Amino acid sequence: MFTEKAIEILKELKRSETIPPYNSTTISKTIEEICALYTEYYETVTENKTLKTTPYFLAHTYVFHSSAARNKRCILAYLMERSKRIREFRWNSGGGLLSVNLKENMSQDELDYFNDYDKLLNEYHTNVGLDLTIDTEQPPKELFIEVRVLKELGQVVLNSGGTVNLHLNTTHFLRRSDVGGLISQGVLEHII
Amino acid sequence: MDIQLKKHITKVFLLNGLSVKADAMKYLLKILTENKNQLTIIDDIIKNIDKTTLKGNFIDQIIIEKSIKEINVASDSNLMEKEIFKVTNAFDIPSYTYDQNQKLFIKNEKANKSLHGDAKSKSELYRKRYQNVLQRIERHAFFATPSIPSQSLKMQFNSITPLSSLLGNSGSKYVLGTISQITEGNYFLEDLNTNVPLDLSNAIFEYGLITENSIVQVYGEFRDGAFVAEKIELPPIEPREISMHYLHGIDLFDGSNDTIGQSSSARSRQLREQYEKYEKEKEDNSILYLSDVYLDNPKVMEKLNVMFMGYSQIPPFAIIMMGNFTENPLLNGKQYQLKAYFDQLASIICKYPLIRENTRFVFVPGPTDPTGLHLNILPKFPIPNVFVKDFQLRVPHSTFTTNPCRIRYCTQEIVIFRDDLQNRMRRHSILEPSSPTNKDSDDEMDGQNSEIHISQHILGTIFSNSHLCNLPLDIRPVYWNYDHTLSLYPLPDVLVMGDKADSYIHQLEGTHCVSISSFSTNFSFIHYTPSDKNNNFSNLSDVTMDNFKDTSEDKEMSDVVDDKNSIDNDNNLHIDDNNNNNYNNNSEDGEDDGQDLNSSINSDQDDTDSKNIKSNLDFSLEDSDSEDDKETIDL
Repeated sequence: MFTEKAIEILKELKRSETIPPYNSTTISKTIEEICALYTEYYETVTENKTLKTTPYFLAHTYVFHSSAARNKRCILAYLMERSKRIREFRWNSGGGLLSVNLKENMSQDELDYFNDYDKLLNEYHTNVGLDLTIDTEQPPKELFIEVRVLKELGQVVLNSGGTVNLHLNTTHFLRRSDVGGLISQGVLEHII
Repeated sequence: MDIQLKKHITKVFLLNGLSVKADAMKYLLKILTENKNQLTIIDDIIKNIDKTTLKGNFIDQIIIEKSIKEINVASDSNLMEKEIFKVTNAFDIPSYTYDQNQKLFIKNEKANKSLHGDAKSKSELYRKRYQNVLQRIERHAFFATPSIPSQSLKMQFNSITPLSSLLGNSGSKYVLGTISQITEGNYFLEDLNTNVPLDLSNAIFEYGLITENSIVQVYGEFRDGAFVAEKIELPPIEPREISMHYLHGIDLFDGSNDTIGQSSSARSRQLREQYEKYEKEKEDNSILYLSDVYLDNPKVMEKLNVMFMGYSQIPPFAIIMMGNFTENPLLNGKQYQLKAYFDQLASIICKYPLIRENTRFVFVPGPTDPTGLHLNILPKFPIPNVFVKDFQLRVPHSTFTTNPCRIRYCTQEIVIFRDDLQNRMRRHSILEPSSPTNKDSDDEMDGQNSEIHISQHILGTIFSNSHLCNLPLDIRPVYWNYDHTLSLYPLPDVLVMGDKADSYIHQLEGTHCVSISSFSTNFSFIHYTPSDKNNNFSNLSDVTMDNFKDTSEDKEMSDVVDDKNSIDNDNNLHIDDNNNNNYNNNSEDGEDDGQDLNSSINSDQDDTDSKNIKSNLDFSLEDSDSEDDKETIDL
């Protein structure tokens, strides 16, 4: 059956919550399939010029054409969904850093896309003077919160200009605006 | 004030998703107090921090220092010159494993670095050599699978059949395997899982030099417990561009930009553009390759002097000298003589201050150089510091590296390998190629009408095996854990072989391959200009101190040299008088131009050396000129 491979990559994407490895082999195979379908289509049309209006050849060409179009749509959907997840990651991770795992899963173009998107967002934040990615889910209730350190960090300078010793497993009572980014990066944990 | 500044800094970093550590803050404040234009500096620093290389969101002093250094490098061309020429020692080349599932090369972070590998290392070595080839040819157009079912009716599609599924599978198949001799006298074909006996009696074999261990693509049928080969071919070679495309920015060459994705991030892109610009701009930059520089031979030293003299006003960018550095191996405590020889070389170099200041020297040991072990195991260690400490003090830009080694010049990757590969591969070759154009009987296969030169057979073999020296380990020992350093995947831009057999220049699948025979027998070397990727043979056999002329065709250069020559003549006359006669007698003209390419596959091993001297003087100097000059001196 035509377009089998193209559907496969979409299923693969649907199965996973995060960004799965970029399936370049299947994509290039799908593109090859489009080319092959096009040659078939072209041959059918050119070789049977007089007969091309008969229902048999119409159906023939229609199948080739719509399969090629479907292949194209599937690839575009795959790329679109992935770019959406990449943007989401940038908003939720609190900082434009990819883990090694994610880097391996992304294609070169996606990495470029992520870096450029990150740059745009940073530029916007600098101009506005506000980090929009923080506190997107619910408005904060208190000014100060208690946090536990999950990764050894050493001395860190906070937004307010003060320096804090963030050692592993210590807890601190800090200004929410100072540590919001660190919480979404997963290095601090909010103790409720 | 201070707290305001701190707040500002942290805010700028935070808006870029980064947090500042205390030591970085101190360092930044220090920089800011030193400089007046405060805020722009911070912006510059942040722009220069390459987020793709960071391990976490925290910025410490080291990262900031690195960023500032990069800003300085970008604005300063002198600093850049230091960066563009990088020699990588074979032992520093990271090892990568191919992941069949992800279809990607993954870096071995915990690779076994011991020189004495365990049993697993040895089997890994063979598997990796095989896998490198397999992953490459699986995607080659020849083995493509039909994309829609109806295609298979119209066209012939081939696929590689694993050896383990040959049993009970009739019909002719393509298989990919390593040739090995498991029981004496019988050849077998091995892949990752199993082996089958190989019947070579009726096989057609057209191109390449097949030895044990070679990875070949065999077409044939499995009959009565043996694979009867109809046709043996070298696996298809993949040009560099295609390999790079499939590598997705992984750097197998020296691992310098190995983080995936980094190679195309803005900063690296910018750097790459700078390199490309530099490479194109500096048309005069040249790299010289010499092999077998016998420093203990006074004639060789004299010729080196001539060479440096010729280049004294236009110093080459780099000179790469390959061993052996002595005519006879230094054994039994005589090794320390090597120090004296290198000191002599240093004093020659120091006579030409421009060369000493501007030229980088790279020394690659030859098979018999004393580098710790008498056994010639690859990769071979650099010449020990104890022999060359003084040399390095006197010639600052000198590097002693391993054999083989890799050099990155701007955007070009150069692999240097000093080994007498031609001899070795011919001796151990198990099948003689039958030339496709050969109309004569098989007995006259060695006749002059063979079209393909032996060097092309060798290059074809090593390229298709993606390995510099795919010979059995007992013939060419290799440190098992460092076998990846001999890999030729992806193909480099330039491959330089120091092979004592004939010199040649070929271009194969976009890779420039040169081989230099010994400098000490015919005083020839290779002049390489990276800007247009042009290799030239240069020959000094007719040249002595008084009548040399630069062999490169750059007119300007030779003019400069001539001027310099006339000034220096007086100083060097005494040397010339002694040596003129000797050298002119010694020289032999390059009348057999092109014999190099057309000469037959000569199965007689011994006369390669004598042939050496005769052939390949393509770029040798015009005789008339040198004779004229000589007469003036005699007067």
